[in-house]
Amino acid sequence: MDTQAQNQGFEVQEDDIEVAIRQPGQDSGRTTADPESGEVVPHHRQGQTSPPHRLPADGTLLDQGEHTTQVDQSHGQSSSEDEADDDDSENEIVHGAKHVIMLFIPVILCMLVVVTTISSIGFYTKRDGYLIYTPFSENTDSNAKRIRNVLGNTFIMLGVVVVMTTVLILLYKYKCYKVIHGWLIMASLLLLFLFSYVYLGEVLRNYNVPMDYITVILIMWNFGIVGLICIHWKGPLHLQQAYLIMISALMGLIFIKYLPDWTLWFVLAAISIWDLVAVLCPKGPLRILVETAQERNEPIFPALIYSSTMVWVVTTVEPDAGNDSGTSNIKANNMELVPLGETTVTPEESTVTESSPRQDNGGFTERNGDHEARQRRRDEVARREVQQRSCRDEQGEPATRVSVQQSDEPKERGVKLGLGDFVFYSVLVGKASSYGDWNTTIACFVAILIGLSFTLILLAIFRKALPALPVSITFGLVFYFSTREIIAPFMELCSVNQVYI
Amino acid sequence: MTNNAHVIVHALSPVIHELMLVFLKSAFFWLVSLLLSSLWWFAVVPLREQLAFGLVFSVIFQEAFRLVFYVLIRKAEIGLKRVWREEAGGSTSALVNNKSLIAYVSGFGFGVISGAFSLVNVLADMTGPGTIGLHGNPQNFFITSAVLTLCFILLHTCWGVVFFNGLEKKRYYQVVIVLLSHMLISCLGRNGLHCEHLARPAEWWKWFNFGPLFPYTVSVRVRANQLASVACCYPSDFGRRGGILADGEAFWPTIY
Repeated sequence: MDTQAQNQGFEVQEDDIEVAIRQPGQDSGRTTADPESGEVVPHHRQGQTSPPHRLPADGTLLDQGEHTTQVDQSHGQSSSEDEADDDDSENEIVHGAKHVIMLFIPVILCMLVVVTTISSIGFYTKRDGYLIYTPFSENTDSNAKRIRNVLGNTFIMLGVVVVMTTVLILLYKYKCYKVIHGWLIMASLLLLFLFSYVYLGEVLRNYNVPMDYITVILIMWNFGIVGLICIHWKGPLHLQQAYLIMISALMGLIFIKYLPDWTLWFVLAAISIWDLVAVLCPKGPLRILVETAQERNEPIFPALIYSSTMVWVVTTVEPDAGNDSGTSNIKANNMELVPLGETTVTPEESTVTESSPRQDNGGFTERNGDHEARQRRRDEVARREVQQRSCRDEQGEPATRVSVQQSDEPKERGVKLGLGDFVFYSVLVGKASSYGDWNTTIACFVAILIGLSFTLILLAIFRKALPALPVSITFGLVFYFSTREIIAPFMELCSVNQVYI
Repeated sequence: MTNNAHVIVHALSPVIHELMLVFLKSAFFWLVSLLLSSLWWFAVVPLREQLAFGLVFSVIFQEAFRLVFYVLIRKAEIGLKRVWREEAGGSTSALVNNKSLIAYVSGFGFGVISGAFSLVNVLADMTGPGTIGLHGNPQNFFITSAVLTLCFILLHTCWGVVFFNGLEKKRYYQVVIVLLSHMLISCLGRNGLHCEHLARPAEWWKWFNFGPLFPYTVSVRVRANQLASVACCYPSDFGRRGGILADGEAFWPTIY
């Protein structure tokens, strides 16, 4: 029971769900310094045109006069600011496709792991026992009583989630980081050792593979310890992502196994509503979490969030002033991918960069893509500082184009998805596949992905943390029930008659 | 040949992510159309046993959703075009310039999801405890299903290309042709190939109900090729593309 309680606690945290893309424009409202300390904080725009210049609009970094000068100069003669803003957002959508796909891949992987496990390993569909959070049985005579029991279970589950989330927020608010980290480490310890041990055992049993305990211990020890290090400390990005996907899948499998059928569907619906409330309400706990993290310039705990992808390091060089300015800033864009862990801009460094006199870096038109490509590391900012100084020394006077420095900085850009999203997506798809109808599984699969991409579109529009569960889960539930009740008979009729539509 | 493949991959790489999204969205649209047609079939209780009824409406719904998908894609493009015009030298404009890419991919999405829905349960049964053909039932059920499914994937792809082309160039008879041929091909299966027919050689003539399907598939395929579904990726088009035409008119890289 203790283990389950712990595990539940972990879950509860994991449903801290949001997709967060941070906007420099928004950041400027909230925080004073733009470059972020952690690895998980993305920058939404790839320093192209306006955002870096509009960033200091609150006057903390620049005075207003300089700000407007910059905007004018960087947009040149033709495009007004509004237009530039529009184009910029559209451009983001264009580049967004890549990010959507990059986020799809882990979600698809997680769902695939769960679906494969469910359909091949009988252990996870066999009923033996329930969690203590769902004390009421569904096997009752009357439907009314069953509904009452299901609702009771759902409310208990939701209550646990709410309480745990609140506890987490309180701990975070009062900076009890040690407690939180202990909690998270305990939870991932359980998932990485106990549940994966169970999983391994069931896989081996299913395929009738004998294995001695020494090997198992060796495997489990290495797997767990590497996982702990990767998740909580540091490790190769792909390894970390793989571990996060794995623990989400394990968590989802546990849910599928131990939650009664109808309770599970109701819990899915309730959780997505709770997600909506928690992220969007002014006093919603997850919103508070995100905002506090932004205020403190901290990444949200890596054990809770799949930090999407890569750091996008953008090197923008302003082209010749003679160019028509409409195309200039985009053309000169030169992007490189750098693993997330490698470019960490610490606050100190960023403040150095921010406070350096901006008008001094003019004339920095050297295309530095090549020689910087091989070395983008922690000293990036400092090095560029040096370069800028040298440039300034050579040129001697402030030049006309002054927007280079900001857009030259390593920009992190990406989408973050809470692990809870992974868990509940795969719970839905896995549960759908546990009835043996593959059409249902495919329908839920497509519906969830479409819901996710719809959420990402909303994200591009609203540009704040959004709950990722409601749209996807709603689509998934609609398609689950309709496929099961309506589409499947139709398709069955078609396939019996060998009719293709 | 490898050179061509390399060129295609190279040309597609900037837009591959968007194409994946188009693929997924078209699959979703097909799914919604299937949902609506199933609902319609389900709701009209007295005709529930009449498959022809559900079939006809299913085809109509599918083509209607193809239309809706086309309209939505066009709307999205208008927004994207402005960005891409700025990026005239950029490679992203491949999508706008090659409408047939989107047509192809969306048709493919339709085909793949419909093929998956038709075949996946059959495939799942194949692993199951039962064995096909024990009681004199036809043994080639699986292979027939697989081939027919492949045909339909191909057909859907080509229908997508022809359909979008018809809308694009305002040759609406092409749209009508797609609708009619889809209806025809789907209804051919009706009463066509019952399992038990295959068991008795005397009834193998029933196969000929499906006879037209294969030449039809091939001909539609050729037609769609003429509409430059694949050729649009070739660099020759990229060469004379020259960015988006100034008046915003869609560039249609075909000889058609």
